[in-house]
Amino acid sequence: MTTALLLCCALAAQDTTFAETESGAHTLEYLKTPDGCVLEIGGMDFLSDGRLVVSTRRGQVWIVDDPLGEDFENAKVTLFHEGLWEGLGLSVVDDEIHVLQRGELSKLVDSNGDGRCDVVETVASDWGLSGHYHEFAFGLPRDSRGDWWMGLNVSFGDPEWWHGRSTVPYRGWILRVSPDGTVTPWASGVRSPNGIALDSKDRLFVTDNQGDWIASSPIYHIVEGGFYGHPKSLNWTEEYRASGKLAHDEIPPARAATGRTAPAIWIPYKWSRSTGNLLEDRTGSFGIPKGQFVVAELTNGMLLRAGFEEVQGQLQGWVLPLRQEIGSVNRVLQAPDGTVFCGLTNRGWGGKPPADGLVRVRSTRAETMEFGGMTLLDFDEETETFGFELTFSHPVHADWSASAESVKMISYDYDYWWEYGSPERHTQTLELEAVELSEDRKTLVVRSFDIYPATCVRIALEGVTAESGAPLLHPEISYTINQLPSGAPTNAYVAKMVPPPPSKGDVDAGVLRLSWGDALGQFESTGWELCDAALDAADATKFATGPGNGALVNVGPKASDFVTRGSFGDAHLHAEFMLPKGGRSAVQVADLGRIELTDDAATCGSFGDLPPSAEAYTAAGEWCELDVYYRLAKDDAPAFLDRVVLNGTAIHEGVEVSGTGGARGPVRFLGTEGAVALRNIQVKPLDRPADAGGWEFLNAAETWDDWELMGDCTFDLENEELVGKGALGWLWAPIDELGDVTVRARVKINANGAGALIVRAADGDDGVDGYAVRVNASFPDGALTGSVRAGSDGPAASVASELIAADTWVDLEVDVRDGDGGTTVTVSLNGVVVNEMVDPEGRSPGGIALRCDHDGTVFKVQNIRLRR
Amino acid sequence: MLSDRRLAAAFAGALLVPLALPSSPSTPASASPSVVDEKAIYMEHCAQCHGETGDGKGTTDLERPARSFLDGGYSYGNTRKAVLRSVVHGIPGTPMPAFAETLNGEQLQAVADYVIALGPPGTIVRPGDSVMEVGEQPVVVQGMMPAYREGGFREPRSVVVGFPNGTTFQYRKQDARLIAVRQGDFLDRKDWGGRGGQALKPLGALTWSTNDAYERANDVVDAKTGEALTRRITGTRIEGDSVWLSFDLAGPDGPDGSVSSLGGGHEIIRFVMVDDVPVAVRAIVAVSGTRDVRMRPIGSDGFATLVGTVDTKGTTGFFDVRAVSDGVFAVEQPDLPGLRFFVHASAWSDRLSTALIRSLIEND
Repeated sequence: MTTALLLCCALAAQDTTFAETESGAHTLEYLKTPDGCVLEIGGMDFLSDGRLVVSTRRGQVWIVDDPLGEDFENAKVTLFHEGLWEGLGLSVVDDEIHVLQRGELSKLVDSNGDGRCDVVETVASDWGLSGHYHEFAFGLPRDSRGDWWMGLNVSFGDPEWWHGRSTVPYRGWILRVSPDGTVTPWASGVRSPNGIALDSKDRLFVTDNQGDWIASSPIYHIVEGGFYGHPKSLNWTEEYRASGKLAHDEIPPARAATGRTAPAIWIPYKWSRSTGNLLEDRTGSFGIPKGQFVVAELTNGMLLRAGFEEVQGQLQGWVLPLRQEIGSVNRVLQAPDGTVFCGLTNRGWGGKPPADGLVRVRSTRAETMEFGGMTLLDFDEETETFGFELTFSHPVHADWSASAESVKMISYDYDYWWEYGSPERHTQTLELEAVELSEDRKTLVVRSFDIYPATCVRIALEGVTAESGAPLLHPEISYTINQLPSGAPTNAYVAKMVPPPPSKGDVDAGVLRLSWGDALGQFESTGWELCDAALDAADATKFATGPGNGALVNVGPKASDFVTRGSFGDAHLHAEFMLPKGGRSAVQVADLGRIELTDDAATCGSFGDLPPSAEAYTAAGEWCELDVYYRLAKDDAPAFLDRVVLNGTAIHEGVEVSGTGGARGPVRFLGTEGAVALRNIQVKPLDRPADAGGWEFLNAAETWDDWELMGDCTFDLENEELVGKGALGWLWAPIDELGDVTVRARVKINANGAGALIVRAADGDDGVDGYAVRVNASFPDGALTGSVRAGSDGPAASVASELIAADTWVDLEVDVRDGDGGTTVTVSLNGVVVNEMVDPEGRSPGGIALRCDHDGTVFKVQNIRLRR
Repeated sequence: MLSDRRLAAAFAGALLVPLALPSSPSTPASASPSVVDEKAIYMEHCAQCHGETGDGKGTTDLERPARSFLDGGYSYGNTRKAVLRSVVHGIPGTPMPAFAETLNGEQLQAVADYVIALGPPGTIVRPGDSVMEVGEQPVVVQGMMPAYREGGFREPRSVVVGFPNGTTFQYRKQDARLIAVRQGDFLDRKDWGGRGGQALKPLGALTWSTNDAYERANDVVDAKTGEALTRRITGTRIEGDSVWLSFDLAGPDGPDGSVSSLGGGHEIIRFVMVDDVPVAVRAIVAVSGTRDVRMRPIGSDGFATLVGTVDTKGTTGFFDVRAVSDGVFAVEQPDLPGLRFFVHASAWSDRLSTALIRSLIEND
């Protein structure tokens, strides 16, 4: 055996044969499985006698005899166990098989030696399972200290099916499991962390799948406490738990600006759409340099190759294809002789066939012309550039010369947002300042002025061959630059925060429709009227008005500004305006200065000294649409006008506004300098007020048996969501004696429905008394969502504006507080105070109840939290 | 509870087996003959981006190239339903539009099937036969069970034990409680389809489900304070014809939110034969070293009626038999308040008593 091997190597050295195709470099052998054995592989490891154990998504564990033997295709496959709930990770410790199920890490024991498992012991299970179908648990590498590592998929849901959610603990986290079963949440912000691996230095790498907040498929280097970008996992941080806040679907969390840990590598979309796990080649016998990484890829059905380097304390690196046409590779495992076993599966996920099975991939030991690797070079004083060094496995053919034609280099970055993935943004071709092939023709150095941190660079070489004529097998390589080797480290990320795209699922979600229904009710103003308006035919500098509800116009002689009663923080303002000939108005959001509205395309939309970047104003007498996305100053960050859009054209983007205080403030339309007409004024808050901790989560799923129903409605609990259906009736929460309290819930009412959240609820004459805060999209009593009434005969304060569209989730907050003048009830919608009522008599402490008002009502409530 | 594994192993149980009702066969939806020209629809609506042959090289200039169908692999997964979903709803964040408004239901499915047919054969995963059967030995399964009653909850952490005689026990793992008993075929692993994660489908008929009275009789309490302790299933073991469920025991939350571990025990499920009918007996017993815990007393407050005794003629003494819930009897010795057997039978009878005695003596 040894002799033969030596002979083989000697021959190779004498006469270098080149593989010119992938199949010439790596062979594929597919295991034939017996009837009824479908290997949808989620985990693999070796027993000490060399047998290979695989766990499958069907919850089975199979053992493959002699996997390195000559006749792999016919290797014996035996069922060791079945009946688990998936097995997306497997680890053999001292010949004991450990499998990661959805709900637990289990040890499988064959206690009577008959070859089948008969004892299943729970090692760890301290994480949540809501029952959502997408709550996968991935694993299961084990480090040199004996700790296991695993990751939990977020579940999906609102507003789109693919939007991540984290309704139970540690969804979207990477966890450490100690040998005694203790589970420690380690890092957050992952979405679908399918691939988890440790390298020889115990560094932990995790792959994720593109989706909301995840621009493409990344490889993270996991550090303790790291946050990798998907916001929903933050629900389980101390900070969020204490504040009662929940991470928002569409608004980036505060921590995203500078508190993310950047992925070490972004794999280009064209190479990976669903990444599996990875391994470090520790043998040097797989046809790639020892120490490089092999990455599993499902959708494109291949293996990728990657390498990492540390730059200014952060890992980053390169990636490129290695071996294609394998099948949907979900797991890779390397044998001591260098062989890589690929476990396939793609059921429900999509990917290249075969959809399942076990593949043995081996190097043919033929030479190949490949990149050796890629290194980011430091600043060069002479050319004043950064650059890259690319190495080759063999000298490049003497005929090849490096030029702008043969070396193509592009850079790009991504958007960090809630949309599904991100296109490559700001793509540009990098001009080469210097390009030099070394004397031995094995190293290529490229330099450019345009190499920046927080970008990705792809280099494609054309026409490169070895001296033998063998082509460069994979001529394109991608590098993720988190940091440059010198200079001040950057705070920027490859995936950059951008204004959220318009919501597609529920266009009105989070919006307060200030001028709907009672059009004047949400504004402080004098001299404004609801009427129809058009240019006066006789005098185009004026409006002719008539009865109607088409416009809000400052027709009065001493008209004031038109100012919202509510104060807003970061927000998206939408308004439509119309000016007469020569007309002039302005809009001011909080303390950010004025956006001028003028009947002049060159100046309309000016912000301070900054003219609009495009002429988007149309004409006097025509309605114009204005959208302003803005952020207030906070901590060290200045205020920003993120984007101002006039009639669909962006006229300002990313304008930093210095010298502002950061206080929330109203939206003010100038009404004192001539006629202006307004309509459809909406504000979508893009933040939530900060607050202190002390929130309790009213977990209906845990206490459902203690909730009490009264009257003629029904309430069901569906996926952590309370769903009430009319007629008149109440649902009592199992809680009591609430005095001063703030209650929060996410609620939604249908177009035919009305209901209420009742705080300090108590038995009353006609049902349930208390402070009832209305959630009403239908009942024509002038008390719409946000209205409050004390008992059946106490004081009431109505909101007549249709602030919230029907069938739209709204974050409702009710604060009840006793004071000298009685009890004050304050109602906020989407973080904005919209109503306040003082009850001079006050009411005794009580509980919490939900009410359906009438037939046809569908009242949905999520996440009831309270703070006493 | 009694700390004696040997004694606990002595008991097997009685379930007077009702006949499983045959479930009514489902009627497949009638398919009407297709008059849809799927290729024409594809050429009109899809080809400009995905190419006439489906190679992803259409004439429209896109930010991101359209998918080539020739290789297989679809955004939402390789199932007919998933491809249909892409066609109906579009793919957010990509130029792929939704066709729900443009095409009718039949056209949507036809074009989805056309797209699938463009790909390589075998791209669509057809879940294998996912019905699990119980053979010669009991089978223990983990997974999510659907709600056993209307208005109830799915149970994501279920342990389901199936016996060769067609009896299935459904436990909740996080509190080690028996939730339901069924009779008939075992389970359909519905989570073998799609992306997985679906609830298991029990194939047997429900013959018993838990209620308040049973829950009280099933409580393990602190012997001094009478407070209920929490139990979790920590392991399962198939031992011959019986199945052991191990559980741990923890005291109520301390002031710092901690729980104190108090040891643990086993719930052992066996069958005894009564007139050739298998009757399930479940013994609950502590592991050695577990102290100061006992089963909640059930005789004193009158909620469970004494219906008989089991006299083992001096071998192990007298056992009281109480009806704790429809179809379940609790059997215990007055001076051994830690050990309790639950016998699943529709009525108590002398024959049952005799069979139990035989089982006790044989196994003692």
